[in-house]
Amino acid sequence: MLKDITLGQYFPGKSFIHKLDPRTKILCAIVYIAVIFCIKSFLGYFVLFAFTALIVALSKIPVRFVLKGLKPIMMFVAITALFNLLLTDGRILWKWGFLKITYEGLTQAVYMVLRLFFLVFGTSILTLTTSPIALTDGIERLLSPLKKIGVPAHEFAMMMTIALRFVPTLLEETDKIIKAQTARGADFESGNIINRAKAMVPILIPLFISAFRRADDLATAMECRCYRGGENRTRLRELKLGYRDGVCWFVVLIFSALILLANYFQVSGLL
Amino acid sequence: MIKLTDVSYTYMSGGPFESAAVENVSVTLNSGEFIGLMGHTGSGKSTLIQMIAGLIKPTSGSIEIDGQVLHSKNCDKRAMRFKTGLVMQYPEYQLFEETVFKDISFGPTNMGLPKDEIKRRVESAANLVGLDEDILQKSPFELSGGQKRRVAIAGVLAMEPKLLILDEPTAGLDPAGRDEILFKIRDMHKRLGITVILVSHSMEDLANLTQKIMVMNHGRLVMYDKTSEIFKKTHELKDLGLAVPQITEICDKLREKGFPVPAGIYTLDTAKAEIEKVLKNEKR
Ligand SMILES: Nc1ncnc2c1ncn2[C@@H]1O[C@H](COP(=O)(O)OP(=O)(O)O)[C@@H](O)[C@H]1O
Ligand SMILES: [Mg+2]
Repeated sequence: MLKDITLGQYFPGKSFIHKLDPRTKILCAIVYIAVIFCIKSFLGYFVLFAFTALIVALSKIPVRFVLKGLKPIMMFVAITALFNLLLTDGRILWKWGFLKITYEGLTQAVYMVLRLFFLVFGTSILTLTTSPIALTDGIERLLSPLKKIGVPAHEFAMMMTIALRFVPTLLEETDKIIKAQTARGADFESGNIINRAKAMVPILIPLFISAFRRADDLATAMECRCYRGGENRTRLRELKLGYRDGVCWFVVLIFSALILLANYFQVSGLL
Repeated sequence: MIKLTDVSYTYMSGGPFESAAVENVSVTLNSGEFIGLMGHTGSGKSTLIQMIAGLIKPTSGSIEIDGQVLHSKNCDKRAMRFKTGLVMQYPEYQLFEETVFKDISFGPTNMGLPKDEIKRRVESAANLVGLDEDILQKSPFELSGGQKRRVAIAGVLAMEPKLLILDEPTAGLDPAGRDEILFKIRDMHKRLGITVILVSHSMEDLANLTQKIMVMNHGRLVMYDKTSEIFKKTHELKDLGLAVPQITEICDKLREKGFPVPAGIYTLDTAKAEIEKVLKNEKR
């Protein structure tokens, strides 16, 4: 149950994509997302699909894993599609009582679904190929110019690193607590909503207590090692841009241009 | 009777971090016995007992307890749950109530017992693990580590399970407290005739308490025999990164030096008797 969450899960590897600088990957992901929202033709989506397939193939991550990221948003996608399908005005294709499907609604719904899917693919590939540590390093470096105007980039990145670091720990802890309380006969499955909410208390209280204790311990441990913020800190692994990042940017820009160009070559008759 | 048939468990199966924790374990445990379970860290002990307690479902294979197959359609889940009591490893984190009394009564309350029966059970369980009467009205969060552990153990004992499983219950307790709790559990085993499975790294505890011992290595069950038979296999155990009780080691050393001390001695009393016998013969 808890282990089914892929969004934000790192899949270790040594592929071309894994080895890219995290800054490149973050910025490319932003470009990718921007491009998704600029597409106005199916041809554009086709090119985007080809690009995405290329990235997935290069990253050597089983397609199954990338698709798994879709599972949690399926319900949301379905509802969005349904609303778009039934509530858009335009040329009527099908009508039954007060329900109607229009040509525009159909197009809108398909666009919406495609956008959401690609959005998840883009972010999943980023998080699947970048370890949380590299990701926050990248974010810190990208934000560091803002330090001059008082944005606490280092503190922000440190907070994110710690939060990400503790996600699996807390999931594991939750799992253990659920098991322990189940062994004592706690029942999470039957009863009405109020009873079920009450049944969460024996899980939440120990979870909060342990999270606070961990935070406390971590703060002590950091202080013991003389941690005092971002000023003058050096790093074990410096981020370095390499030839790979050049290649990546080149490919991304070419594809973006192709996709945007496709907007003007809308094949008439193909919706 | 607990019957495991070809039981395996894989964590995160299908994922990049897939790991087989338990592989093809088949064994039959008799009711009413005090059974030890040992193996190096990560050998799959906790996983195995969580499957026996019905908390996780085997990836393959089946577990039958008193004729009921766990996770099968006609298995009464709740009845099974109350039949087995599991004290997990480092169980302190399961405490959540305002007072120790309420926390220990969580299990019995879930069983739907009447108020006075709950009170009786909580008091007897608290007494069993050596908790004072006045602690019962305190908050479990203001207790010491050892006291928290006792409260957690009492929370399971209060359910008076027929099958009691303890996962390293005394790791990190002081020696006196450890012995006190373990001997109370042995008393309970004798008095009520319950089945006990004890996971422990202390060879002394296993030697003093258990009738039979299971030994695990890399997810497989490599030995299951009477305690005396297990401790005859000093070399095999050492190869697995385990040990024998100190007294067994002393007897083994004596035997190597040529004294006729039999193998598989694991209690102080038998060792004393045997050594005295040898000394008497020497004198003659
Ligand atoms: N929640 C879990 N998720 C993934 N792997 C686990 C989990 N719990 C245990 N394991 C792995 O399963 C193996 C057996 O663990 P465990 O049953 O806890 O062993 P033991 O109790 O003998 O120390 C270990 O390799 C451990 O890393
Ligand atoms: Mg364990």
